[in-house]
Amino acid sequence: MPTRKLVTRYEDDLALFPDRYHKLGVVAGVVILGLFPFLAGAYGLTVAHAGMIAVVGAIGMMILTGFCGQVSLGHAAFLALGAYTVAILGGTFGWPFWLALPVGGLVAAGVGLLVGPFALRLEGLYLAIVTVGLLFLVDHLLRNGLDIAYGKDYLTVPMHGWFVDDPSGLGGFRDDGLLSGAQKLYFLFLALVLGTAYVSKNVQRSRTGRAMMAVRDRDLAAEVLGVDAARTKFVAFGLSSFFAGIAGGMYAFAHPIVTLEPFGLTMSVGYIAMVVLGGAGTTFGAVWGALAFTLLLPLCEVAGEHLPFPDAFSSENRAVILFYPALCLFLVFEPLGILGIWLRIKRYFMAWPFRY
Amino acid sequence: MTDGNRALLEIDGLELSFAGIRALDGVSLSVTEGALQAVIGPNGAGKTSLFNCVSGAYRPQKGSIRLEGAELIGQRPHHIAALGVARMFQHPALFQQLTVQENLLLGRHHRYQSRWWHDALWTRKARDEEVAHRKKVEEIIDFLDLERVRKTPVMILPYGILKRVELGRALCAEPRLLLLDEPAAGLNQEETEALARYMLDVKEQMGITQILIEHELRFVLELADRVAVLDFGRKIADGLPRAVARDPAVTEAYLGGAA
Repeated sequence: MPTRKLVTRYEDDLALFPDRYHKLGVVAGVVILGLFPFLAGAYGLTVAHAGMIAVVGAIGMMILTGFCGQVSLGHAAFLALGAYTVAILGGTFGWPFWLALPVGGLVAAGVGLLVGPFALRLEGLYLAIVTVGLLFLVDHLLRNGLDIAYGKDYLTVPMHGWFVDDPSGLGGFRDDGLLSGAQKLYFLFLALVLGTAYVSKNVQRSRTGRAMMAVRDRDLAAEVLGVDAARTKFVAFGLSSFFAGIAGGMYAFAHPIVTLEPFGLTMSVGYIAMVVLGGAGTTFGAVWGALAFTLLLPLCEVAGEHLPFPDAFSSENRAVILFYPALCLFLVFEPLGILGIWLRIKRYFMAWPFRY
Repeated sequence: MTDGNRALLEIDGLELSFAGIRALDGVSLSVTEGALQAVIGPNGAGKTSLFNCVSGAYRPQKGSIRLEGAELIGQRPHHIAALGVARMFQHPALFQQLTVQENLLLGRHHRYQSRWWHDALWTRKARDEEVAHRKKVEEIIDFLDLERVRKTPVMILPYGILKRVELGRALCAEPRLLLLDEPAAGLNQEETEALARYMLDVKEQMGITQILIEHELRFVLELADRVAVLDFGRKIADGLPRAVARDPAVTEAYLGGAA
């Protein structure tokens, strides 16, 4: 039996799911993702929500850093913008969630495009420092702006009420017996994740993504070939911050109130870690890096309870002590991240029964 | 030499200096359409600087570079590429993590009509265009015998093949002018001969005008239609290969005054 289908048309070479193994994978994925919310408990669903928010955010990070090679430490700022835009539009102006969410993305994208010009002149660490500046700037503006406008530095998210199993939730999406609020949120997030991954994969396999990777690998050669490096970086910044804004909006939906607390440098670094952990430069890496990151940390928390740490250590401390050294070791042994492991498994089965 | 004698590229009085160093000092050069023009000279003579001016990476202080009458100086590199100038770099400047096929497709980048939103949503336009350009890329893959490495990431390929991919990427642009910066450097005898064959095919089958920078004189004298010699940023000779090889000024530049 041939391990690979013989490609006879260029269209087939571009297909997302080229052969029967991929199609089997799609069927398995649909079954698992479709059944999960009915089998998982409340905690499982909460973790899934967090995982899917991270996937959308990490794909945004991947487009900018993984595809286009622009290191940004300001990713959390775009998430914060998305989250606050959604909260303000929903809370103050009563917009429905399906309208507020894309606007949140667009607001973040607009600010992302403002950073674009810096990226035209700065590279590597210099750009990273500018984006840290942006992070502090956005934090400062939101903190003080909210203080002036609302007299508080947190906002409640009305949409959250539509998705929680809480009879006092505001209109719209209340429990109608068929699906619980958390399950509805799960399916909404799933649709957003699939859409984001689809767009990212399309960028990756087409001219736009190739131009980004050319700018990443050798920007002068890219220019001489006919790639407009400035425009390419702008597109990367715009798309990346748009998805970060969507992820921020999703974060707002999943929490009853948003504060500026989580949108700090730690979150930005976390997204870079996801991209690297998954395997830089692919959509696959963004998805699995984000899932591994969000699922392993709670797992380490559970494991930490059963390990002989001093009692003074909080469960969070224990998780951090377990997780980060494991992350370091993993990257030392598999620099390509989860993608590297996947490529190795694939190669093993493609070459089977031979060793190479 | 071709008969038409119409100049495709005209360089006139080009001057380029970096903080007191004169890299190019009044260089003029006229390249006939369809010809294989060589530019030779000792190290530091300004050959690569000349290419950098033509492809827009450097901006000369004086002079003009016209491609079929259109001024290239002051244009951004990607505009010059769109006008039909392709370049093969001295040290392969391929995109390391991309496959050979993706590198070649990048050569066609400026010929795409689709915009980023077409790509992001994978519209029919984006898909059809991707297929159409892939067909042209496959022609070049066939021309340069790159079938076996089509899907291989460039970073693991040997140097000889990298040079061929680099040539292929430039050819994929379907340029009118092809700049070859020491294409034979680092190649063995067999690879050099194969390269010479490809260059003659490019000239005869595709009719693309080529400018060749090269150190190895024998390679240049056997291939080129015309040879220009640079020394310390000045053109010291220009003419048919045989005449240039006998020019005493050229011998002096290469071998020193004592010769």
